[in-house]
Amino acid sequence: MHISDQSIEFFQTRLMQDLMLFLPELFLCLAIVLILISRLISNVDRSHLCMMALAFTIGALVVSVCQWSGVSTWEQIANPAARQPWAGNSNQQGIFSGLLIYDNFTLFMRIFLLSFTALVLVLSLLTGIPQPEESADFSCLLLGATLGMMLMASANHLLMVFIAVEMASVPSYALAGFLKTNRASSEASLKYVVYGGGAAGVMLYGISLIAGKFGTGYLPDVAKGFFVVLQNASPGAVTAFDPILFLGTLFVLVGLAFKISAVPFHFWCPDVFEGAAAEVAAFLSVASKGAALALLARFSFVLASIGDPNMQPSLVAWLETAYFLVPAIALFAAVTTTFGNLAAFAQTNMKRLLAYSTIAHAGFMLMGLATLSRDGASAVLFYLVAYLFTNLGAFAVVAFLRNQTGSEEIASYRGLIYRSPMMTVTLSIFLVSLLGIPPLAGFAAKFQVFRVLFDAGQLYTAQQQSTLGFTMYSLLVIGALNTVISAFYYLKVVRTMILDKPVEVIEGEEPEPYSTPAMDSLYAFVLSALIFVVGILWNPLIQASDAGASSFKQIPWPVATASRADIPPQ
Amino acid sequence: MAWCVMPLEHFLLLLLLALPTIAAVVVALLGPNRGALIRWFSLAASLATLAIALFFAIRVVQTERQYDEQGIRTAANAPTFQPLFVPGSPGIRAGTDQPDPFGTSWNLVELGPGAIQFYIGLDGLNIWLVVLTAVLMLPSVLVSWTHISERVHEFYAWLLALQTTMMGIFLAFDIILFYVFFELSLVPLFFLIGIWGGPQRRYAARKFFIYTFLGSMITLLGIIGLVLQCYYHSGQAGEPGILTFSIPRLVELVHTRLITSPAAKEIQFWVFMALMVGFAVKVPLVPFHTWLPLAHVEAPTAGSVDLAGVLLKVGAYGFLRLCIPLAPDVSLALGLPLVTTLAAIGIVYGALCAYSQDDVKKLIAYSSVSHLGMCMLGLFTLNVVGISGGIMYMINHGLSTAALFLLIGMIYERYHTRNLSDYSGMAAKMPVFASFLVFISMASAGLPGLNGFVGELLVLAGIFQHRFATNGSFLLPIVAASGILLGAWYLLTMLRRLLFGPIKEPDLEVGGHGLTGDMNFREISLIAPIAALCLLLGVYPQPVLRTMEPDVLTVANIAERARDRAGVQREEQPVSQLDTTFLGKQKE
Repeated sequence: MHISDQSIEFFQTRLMQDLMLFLPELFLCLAIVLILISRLISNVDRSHLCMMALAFTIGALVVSVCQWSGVSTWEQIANPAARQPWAGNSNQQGIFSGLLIYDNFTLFMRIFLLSFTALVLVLSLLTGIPQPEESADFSCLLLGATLGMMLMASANHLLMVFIAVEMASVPSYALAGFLKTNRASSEASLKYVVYGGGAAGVMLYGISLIAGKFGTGYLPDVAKGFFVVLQNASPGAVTAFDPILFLGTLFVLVGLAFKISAVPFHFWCPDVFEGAAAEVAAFLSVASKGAALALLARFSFVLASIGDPNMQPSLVAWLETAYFLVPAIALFAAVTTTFGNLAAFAQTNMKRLLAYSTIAHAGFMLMGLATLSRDGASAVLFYLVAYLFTNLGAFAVVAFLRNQTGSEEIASYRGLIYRSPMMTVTLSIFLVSLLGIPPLAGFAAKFQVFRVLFDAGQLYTAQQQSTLGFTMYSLLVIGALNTVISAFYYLKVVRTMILDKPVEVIEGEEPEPYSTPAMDSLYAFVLSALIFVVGILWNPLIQASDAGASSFKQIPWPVATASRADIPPQ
Repeated sequence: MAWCVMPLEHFLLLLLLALPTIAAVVVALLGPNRGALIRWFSLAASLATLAIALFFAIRVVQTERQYDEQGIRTAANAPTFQPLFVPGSPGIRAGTDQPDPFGTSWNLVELGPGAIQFYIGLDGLNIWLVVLTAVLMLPSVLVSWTHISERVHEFYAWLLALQTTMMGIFLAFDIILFYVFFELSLVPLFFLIGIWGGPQRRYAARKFFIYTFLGSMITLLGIIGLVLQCYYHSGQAGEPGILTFSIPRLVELVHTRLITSPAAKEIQFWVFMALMVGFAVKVPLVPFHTWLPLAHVEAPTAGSVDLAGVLLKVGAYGFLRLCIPLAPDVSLALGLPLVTTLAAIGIVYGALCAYSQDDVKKLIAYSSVSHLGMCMLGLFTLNVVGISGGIMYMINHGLSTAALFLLIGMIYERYHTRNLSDYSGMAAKMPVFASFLVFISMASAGLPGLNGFVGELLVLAGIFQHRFATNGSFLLPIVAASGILLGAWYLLTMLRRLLFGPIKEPDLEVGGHGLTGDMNFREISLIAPIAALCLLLGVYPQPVLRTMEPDVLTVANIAERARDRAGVQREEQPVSQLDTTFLGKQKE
């Protein structure tokens, strides 16, 4: 085939454009390569390479923020009027011929993941968990996993979905086993690999089923095929049953559920979190789950928002997909939250307890996604940010205390207030925020999820979709009850730290205070302050998460403007 | 800057919330080793707060009198609450440039077309509860003076934080703000009970927290549901609905727009049930009361004082401020029979339980269950007299029960036992203590001339009122009256066993806090003002009743309209005229 110069030029321009949009990821790639090379130079190798990783992560973060706020030239930094922000419109652009998608949602998740990675790197510098000689391995793995997660958030093709998930998983396996001398850590790593390998296999099988059925892996095309099958199989029935499609979707969901650690695919989570270093557990608990939720959101919304060839979503298609996906996600959400909370109560190890708590929170976020509405996606993004600060803070304090006491058992926190008031207060704030007491970030996040659930329940009911409406209301009640159940175990920790006296005090001696380094205290303090900020001033974050979710289509309700206020009273 | 030109009253109202908060932070930062400084500082902070609260009490009395003279605020033109001294007012209605009489310009969170606002204010329903909170803070600080010797800074910090949250609950006119304070009040009390409580404190603290947390989560669902339902159903003739979190605005919407919706009854039912669960736990109504005796017995004296004096009123206040106005039809059709039945059971059950207790603190805790039942009965008569009585009852119960807990705390500090069987004839040993205890018990039992009587009389009058009697049988009035009798019975029994008879004094605790003999000056000075208030409210309750009257009329009118809709016959005499005779107002 003859290719003209013109079209080569066209492809080259496109490639340049795409690479520019891909710049944050390229930063990370560059960092990984440089860190690997620097291992060869003995002088550099002896220094702490996490600093270098941090510098590049921050660089990538700056680029992402510029992309988010529409700054692409130097002039635009000085002159806000010349900016063309992505936020606020729902422009979508496929890059690398549609393998990835570049939109607000991608950008939001990029910023989320990069800032989180930067915070984790700072934490690891403070706690010194990778020794300088191991820092190269650690930061390479961390950046590699982050890169995979960023790809997960922007994947638009089933092939990319699989590659991204694997790219995120494989470094995570190694990270889990990073404490080489620790038996539990190696065991955790092995468990993670075995479970992860199994889940990846199932997911790949599901992908092959779907791709085989439609002859493409490009998500929008898959969605079109979905709609055709669902509509044509049996007219009149609400959902059509197609075994291949059913199994394919189910297997993909299983793969994602593994990453989200949704029950019953959560078995790896407590073991891995207990065995791995607290820093790694913090990373896995937020970044890995966040990316998987983002991918699930992308997958469900692309499937749902397909209608006619003009890519305008149609209500029929939306509801077909909703009946297909919502019950599955809702069931996952309900079981995950309930089981996570119930199991957390019996734990005596702090990291294990937090592991079950993260499982429960993943369930809460799945509840938001189960609405299959743009508001729901926005609430999940809000939840993710609140959860980032809270969970990272909790794990950070666990890591700081481990450096002091060498223990991560809850029993070792007995009477902590006498020894380290700063750590006690901050950890209590993190736990109470996880519980969802106002005015902390956790409450704001739960409020968002409850609000969208109620909203969705009302909308579905008003549109005579009472099954979906009932599902939403049930999730609402399950969510509220679960919050109460979670009070049991969060309070247990708070009680141990603050209400119990240390053994010395009971014996009439002075308790020995811990000498917490100032930077550790500062880190914990900043994170807890952020929790208050997010919990009191929701507005900026709501706007950002709304903008992030604006990449997804609204449910095309029949009313002209599709605004919920216009729905006539029954 | 808007801050610079903020009127004095707005600033002071903010200070009412900010002062205890700042004091709490300062006290927490002072560290554990400056006990004396912390105590004096907390005392100063609570005195200042009390001064501000009293200033507002006087201002509200004045304003109501002005309104009375000018005839501005009458029952007819007040379809909803009209808070005074709202900082940041007048607000701008979201999406328009119209002034919003039911909001403020201080938006906390903008959610689509609406906003959660920092909307606080005062009206007749909450002013006296705010004053009560400020008044009771003083004895709470004083009674812990020697009682609390370890982790002093934490104790006073939590106590002051508790005061902030209680103030916040009463002052909030934004439903989410109300909820935030409502939920937040659990945290300080959890620590107060859990750290400085009795032997079972850990269990008590957890049970208290989880129980009330469960209730308030369901309340949260009710609040979200209510706001969103108002949003959906308030759209009229093509214009979009109104998303608002302001309580007065919600009340207005419920009555002007939501009531016409065919789904109104169903919505109200769920809203009422969800709100009721949270508030019923807090009151506590009878099947939800099991956390209360435990929490009271284990709590330190100051915690008991605030728990009994103020926090129990939060439940009743929630019914009054939210449940009845926002779900009037269901309050009438379902709430009235349900709540009054539970309240009646609570009155008798609480009284019988109180009688059989040996532990004095438990006795008073159960008497609270009985008294709060009476208070709820008053509120759910849904007429002016009954509601006024209910609010009076809240204030009186706050004063007298708090004083009882204080007195028991004092004797416990000396002998380290609260069992009635360990004591006898203490009147001879501690005459001042005995006279105060008798006085306060009489106030609690409702002796005429003391405050308890006013509330009881009004509640009874409300129950006996014709319209209520037609709805139910005469069973409720009989139960209510018997509650008063039973109250006198168990209180007098307690007095007899504790104070009179042959002298039996438990051993003075070795290594105690050095308190022996009768009450000292500090203890007298903390109990005497409460006793004086009991007497004052008993002989001259008019200012209190007068200031709450317009807002009570608002609630009563809301219920009145619900009666109209339900087809219950109106009385020949208009409600306001009949009821003002009870409130000591001259008829024209």
